[in-house]
Amino acid sequence: MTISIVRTAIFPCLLVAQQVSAQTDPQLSYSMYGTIGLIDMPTAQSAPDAELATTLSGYKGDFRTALTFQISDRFFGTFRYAGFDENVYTATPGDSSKLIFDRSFDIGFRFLDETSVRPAMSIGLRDLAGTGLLSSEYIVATKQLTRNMDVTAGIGWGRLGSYNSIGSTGTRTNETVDEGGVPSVDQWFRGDYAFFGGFGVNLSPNLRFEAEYSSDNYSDAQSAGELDRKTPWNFGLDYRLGPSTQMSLYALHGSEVGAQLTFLINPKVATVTGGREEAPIPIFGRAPEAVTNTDWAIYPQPGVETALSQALARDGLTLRGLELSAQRATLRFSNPRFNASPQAFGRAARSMANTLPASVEVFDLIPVQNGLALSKITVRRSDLEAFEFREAEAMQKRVAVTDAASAPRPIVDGAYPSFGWGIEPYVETGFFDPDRPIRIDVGVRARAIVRPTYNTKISGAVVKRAFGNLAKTPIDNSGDLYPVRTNYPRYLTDGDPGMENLYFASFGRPTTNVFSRVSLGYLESMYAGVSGEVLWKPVDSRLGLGVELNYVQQRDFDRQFGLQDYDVATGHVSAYYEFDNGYYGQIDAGRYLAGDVGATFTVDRTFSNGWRVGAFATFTDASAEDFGEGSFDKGIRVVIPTSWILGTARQSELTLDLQPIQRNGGARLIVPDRLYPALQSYHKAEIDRGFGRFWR
Amino acid sequence: MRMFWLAPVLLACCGNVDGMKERRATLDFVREAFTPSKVEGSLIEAERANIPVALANTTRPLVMVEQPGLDLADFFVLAARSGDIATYGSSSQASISFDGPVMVATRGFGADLMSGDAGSLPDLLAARQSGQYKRVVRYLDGENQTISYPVQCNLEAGDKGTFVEYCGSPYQEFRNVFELSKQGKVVTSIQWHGPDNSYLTIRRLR
Repeated sequence: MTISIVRTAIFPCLLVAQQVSAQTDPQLSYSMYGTIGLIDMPTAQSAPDAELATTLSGYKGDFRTALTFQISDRFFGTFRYAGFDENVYTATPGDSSKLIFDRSFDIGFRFLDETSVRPAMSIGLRDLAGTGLLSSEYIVATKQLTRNMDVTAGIGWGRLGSYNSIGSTGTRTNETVDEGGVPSVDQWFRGDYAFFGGFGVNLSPNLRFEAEYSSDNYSDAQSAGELDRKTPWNFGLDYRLGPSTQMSLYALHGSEVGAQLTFLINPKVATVTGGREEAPIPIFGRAPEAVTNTDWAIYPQPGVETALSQALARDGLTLRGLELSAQRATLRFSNPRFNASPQAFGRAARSMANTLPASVEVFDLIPVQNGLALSKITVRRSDLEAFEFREAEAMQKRVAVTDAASAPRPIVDGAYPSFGWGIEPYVETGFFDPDRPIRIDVGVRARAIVRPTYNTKISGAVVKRAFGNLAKTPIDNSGDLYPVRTNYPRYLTDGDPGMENLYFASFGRPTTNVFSRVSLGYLESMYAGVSGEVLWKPVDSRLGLGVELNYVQQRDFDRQFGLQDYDVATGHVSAYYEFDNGYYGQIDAGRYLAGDVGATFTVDRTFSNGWRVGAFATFTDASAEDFGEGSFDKGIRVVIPTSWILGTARQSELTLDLQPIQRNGGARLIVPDRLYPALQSYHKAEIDRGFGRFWR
Repeated sequence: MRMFWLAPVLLACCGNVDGMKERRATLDFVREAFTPSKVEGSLIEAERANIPVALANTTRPLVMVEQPGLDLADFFVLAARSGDIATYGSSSQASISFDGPVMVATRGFGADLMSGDAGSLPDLLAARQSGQYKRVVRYLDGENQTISYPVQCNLEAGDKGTFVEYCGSPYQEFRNVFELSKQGKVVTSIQWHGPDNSYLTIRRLR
C-alpha cells in the first residue's frame, strides 16, 4: 500500500495547458514514457533547458502519466505513475478491468552532442528503483538527417532487451530491493540486450510521423493474455496544438491503438515578461537649492512619516519604522507583495525619494518579517535620480547589501500590540493511494494573529473541511516505528473542525549574521511543544548553517487541546547553500519524530522568477522493513509563483508536493516560520539575481 | 448539503493579516480577466472620441497612446521630468517615458521597455535632419535578467513632414514614423515597443 498525505496551499493542476515556451523545437516529441523519444523508444535528443512536461498516455490496460523535467541542458529526470491491468501487474489471474498503479523514476544524460557527421548520444535508466516493472537501460544515438527527418538507433537492456536480443551481459533478476524505492543497481545494464531504432519525419510544422522498431517484447502483458503483440513495429502521429500542447495517436504492436496528451511549461519563459503590474511612481527629483536645506531637521515637519507610509502602501508595502537625520534615513518595511525583493527595494526607494526632505541623501532600507531585520540595502538618493532610466546593472553597482543586526530599529508609534485575522479557502492533497491515486480536501481556514511587540506573535488557525476524501486514506501502521505520521487521517476524521495551530513565537537578531526563533504551543495538527532555532547566515554568503531543537508531544486526534502519551526530542543541524548556477542544496541531519536518526538531502533548481523544481530524500537508521513500502522517505516538489501565472506581482505560490509515501521514518516536525525561507530572498545572492526588477 | 454555508468563503478571502490583501487582489484579478469589456466596438475609437474631455480635465502636457494590436488606448499626463526624460502617467497606472519625442521606457504595459538610449535621434528630429546612429533598447527576460539589444538606425525624411526611422540588428528590426507639425514638434508617432506589444501610436495632444 502506498499512502501519501501532503499539505499544499493550492494544488496546481499541471495537467492543464498553460502558456509556455515557444522554445520547444518542433521536431521534438515526448514518448509514452513521458520522456523525449519516439513512441515507446527513447531518442538521444534533449528538451529545452528547464522544460517541464506532463504526459498522459495509454492504451487498453496500460495507462501512464509522467512529469519530466529537463534538469539541465543535458540531464533530465522523470517521475511516472503508471497503471497496469491487474493481470499484467501481478502475473497471476486478476481483474483485467482494474488498474494497479506503480511509481517509477527515470534519468537520462546526453553525453555527446550532435555535429554535422556525428549523432547525439545519450544514456538513460528507466524505472531505476523499486518494483522495476518498466525498468530498462539504454544507450541511444540520434542524428538529424535532413531538416525534417531524424533517425535513432540504440541498444537496450531490461524491457528494451526483451525482444530479439543479440547478446547478454550477465544475469538480471527481478528482485525488489528492500521494500521498494531503492535503486536496483545490480540490475542495471545486466541481462539480455537488443537493438531498437526508428525515425521521425516532420510532415508540417505541427505534424510529425514516427515509426519505431521496438525491442520491448511486453512479455508480462503477453503472458497474462492481455496483449497480442503481432509486430515489433509501432507507428505514431504527433500533432502540436500550439507551443504548449501535443496530441499523439499510436498504432501499437500491430493490435492496439494508443493515445497521448503532452503539456509543456518552461519556467524560464514568463507569461508576461517583467509583469503587467502597475507602474511605479517616477522619481520627482529635487530642487538644487533644497538639497542643502536642513532646517527641517531642527524644526521637524509633521506628516513625513505619514506621506511615506501612504506612498509605500500604494505599492503594497508596509511601513514598520522610520528614522530620519539631516542626511540619512533608515526605513524598516515589510513586503507582502513582490516575490522579487529588488522590486520591493526599488519601489520603497522611490517612495523615500519622493517623500523625504531633500537634504536626505542616503537611504537604508531594511526589510523585516516577524520583526526580524533580514538585511539592509543602502542607496544614494542622487543615484536613484541619475540611474532611473539606465540599465538596472548600473544601479546594482551602486547598491550595498549589508547585515542589519546593528542597524537602527525605529518602530512606528502605536503599531503594537496589533491584531490581524483572515478567512481563506484551503486545498490539501494526497497522492498515490493505490485505491485512489489522488485524494483532495477543500475547506476553510480562519487565522488570527496578535503581535504584542514588533518581534513576537501569538498565532492560531482553525480549519473546517467542506468536502473531500483525505480522511478516508487507509491507515497502515505496520513496522516497529511509532505511528508519528501514519495516523494523520484520524486527525482529519476526529478533528474536523480542528485547531491547526496555536502558538507563541519570538524572533531575534542576537548578533551580526545570526537569526533566532523560539516557538511554543500547538505547532502543527499532530504535535505541540517547544521549538528553538538559531541560524547563521551572512548576507553576502551563499552558505547558511542552522540548528533547530524541538521537544514535542503528540496531540489528541480531535485537534483540540489534549495531548497523547508520545513525546520526543527532535532536531536537526542544517546547511543551506545557493550555488551560483541556480541550484540550491540543503542538508538537514538529526533526529526525526520517531526517534530515528539520519539526514534529509534536498536539491532544487531555482529560478529568479520564483519557480523551484526539486527533490528530496531522507535516509535514517530506521530499517526498510520498519519504514514500509518505499524503504525511505523521498519526494518531488514543484513550486510555481502566482506572479508567473498571472503576470502580475504576487508573493504567493502554488506548491505541488509529489511525495510518494508519508510514513513514520524520516518524518520531520512541521514548524511555522522557519528562518531560512524568510530571509533567502533578501540576501545578496537572490538580490543580485533578480536585480533587473529594481526599476520595475 | 449541510456545508452550503461554506460556499461563499471558498470563493473569497477576507481579513487583514499579511498576504490576505494579496489573495483578495488575486481573486479580483482573475474575476476581472473573465469580465467582458463594457465598451462596444473599438476601444481606440471610443478613446479618441474622449480627447476633448481629456484635454478639458488637465492643463498639463497630455499624450494619447494606442496599442492597435490589442485595441487598447489611454491618456497619459506629464508626471515627472528627470533631465531630458519626461514621464507620463495614466489613470490605469501605466507610465511611458520620452526622451524628446522618443519613447525610452514604459511600465504597466506588460513586456515593458525597461529603458532605452535614444542616441542622437531626438536631436536629429529637433533639427529635422537625416542621420545614422546607434540606439539600445532593454527588456527583462523570463528570469528578470536585463536583455540589451543594440540596434543600428537610419533616419530619413518621408512624405508630408514625416521622418522615418529604420532600425535593425540580428535580433529585431523595426520602422518608426514621426509626424512633425509645421512648428517642428512631433505630434504623432508610431514607435516600436517590443516583440510582444509591437507598435504603439503616440499622439501628443498638448
